[in-house]
Amino acid sequence: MNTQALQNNLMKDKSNEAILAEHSKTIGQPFCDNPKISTRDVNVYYAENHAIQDVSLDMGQNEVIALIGPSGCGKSTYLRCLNRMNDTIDSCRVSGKFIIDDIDIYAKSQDPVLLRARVGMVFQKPNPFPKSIYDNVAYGPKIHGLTSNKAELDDLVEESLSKAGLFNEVKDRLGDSGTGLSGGQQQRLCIARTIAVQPEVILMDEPASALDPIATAKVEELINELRKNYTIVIVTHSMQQAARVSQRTAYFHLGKLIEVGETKQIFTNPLHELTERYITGRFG
Amino acid sequence: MENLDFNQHTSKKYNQELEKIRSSLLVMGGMVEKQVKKAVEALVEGKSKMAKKVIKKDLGVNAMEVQIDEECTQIIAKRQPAASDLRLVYSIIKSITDFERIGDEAEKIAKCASFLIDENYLGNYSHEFMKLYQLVAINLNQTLNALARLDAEEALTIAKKDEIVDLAFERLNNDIIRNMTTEPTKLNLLLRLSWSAKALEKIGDHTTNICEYIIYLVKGKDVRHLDINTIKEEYF
Repeated sequence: MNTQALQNNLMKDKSNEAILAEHSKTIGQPFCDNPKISTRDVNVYYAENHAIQDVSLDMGQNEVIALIGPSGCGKSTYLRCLNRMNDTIDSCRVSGKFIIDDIDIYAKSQDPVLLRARVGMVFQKPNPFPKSIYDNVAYGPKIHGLTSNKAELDDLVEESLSKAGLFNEVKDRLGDSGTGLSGGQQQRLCIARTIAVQPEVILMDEPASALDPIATAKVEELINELRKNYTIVIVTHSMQQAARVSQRTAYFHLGKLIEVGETKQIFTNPLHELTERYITGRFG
Repeated sequence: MENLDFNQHTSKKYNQELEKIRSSLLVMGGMVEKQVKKAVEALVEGKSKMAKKVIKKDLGVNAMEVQIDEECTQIIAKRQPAASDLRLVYSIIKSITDFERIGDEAEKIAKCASFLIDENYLGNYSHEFMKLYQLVAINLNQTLNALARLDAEEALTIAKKDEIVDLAFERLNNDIIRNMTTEPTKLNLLLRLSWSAKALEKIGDHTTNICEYIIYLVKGKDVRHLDINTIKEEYF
């Protein structure tokens, strides 16, 4: 019997809390050879609450990595650290290293607005601006000065909407309000808006949890397409979604990163008892 | 993951569903074990009624396969099982196919027995047949126990013993073939004996398959078509 199997046997009948107390090191493959973003020894505190504890994880080039775990495990907090969305929360303190292409994300000289253009984000609930479909997509390129004239901007809007799989559905009504679209279309509009500023990484926080199965399938299809050009980090509560869209899966539990592995391995033969319990629905 | 406890899900209904397919699998295993025993008894002791009963009862084995398949399909559709649950459902779907084939082999033996009894010929192979059957029966019985206890080590030990079954079959079959040359008029009868011996040998192969599914279920490693020693070195 190998060491891991032996450890697992010893864990049998133990509570989640008891297993977690013994957990010291992430198992599996948290690192990769060709990382786009590298994080080391990450700790996050909300006032006195230690929300993320010693997490080290790489996100590879052109990889979709899924972050899963029960509510309150810190997966969204960790995701929001990657483009400094937590800066806006006063009580939130972040320590550890965050490197994107050799650049320190948390360096004093790093402008968070420019960082967020490189590391875009799509949220759980579609949040289009109360503006036209065109303006929703054109807003980012305009403030970042990515285009020099109207024709270029028109092209960029069309290209972004096409990449988000939305252009054909809205091409005749680009002047209509973005909020008038269906939920699934609004979410794809938000993805188009994110793509328009030409990011390198896209963070997605439960991007399909408010969508019906058809809209969900379209967003998942889109994630698969976008992987060719971007690194995607997705937080999801849907285990099947993580299994479908990602190449690697990371399992978080009460602020700790328990296990990271190839998605096909995590969903058929996870190494850690807590991962097994979570994905098979043996919690609580 | 080797801590297999299928009774700890948040959903109690899910626990029951998994328990039901596990239990049905063991019932089906017990059913085919009995079928093999009765078929060989009919052959060796010339019990015509028993042979006919085995042939009839194979329909029950087939029905059981269809029923368990349906239950597994429902679980996949409703629960989308993952990790050890997924391996359990997968292993059950695979195992029942082998159980059904074991049932078919038992039926084959019973049909041969019926033919031989009708021709009033049982040959002089009772002792050898019983020896081969006992080797196969012990393996099948122990496999069912390993399945009930999810014991991968035991499954590996049983899989290794299939070589002995193969040797015993070769010996018996060579004897029968030799007899075919000396008694060519009884070719038709001796062929039935040879087929019956082959059926027992194939039951041994199906038993080995089930042992491999047990190892997959417990260890999460697909060990099909691997050498036994390699399996032992790499996964145990």
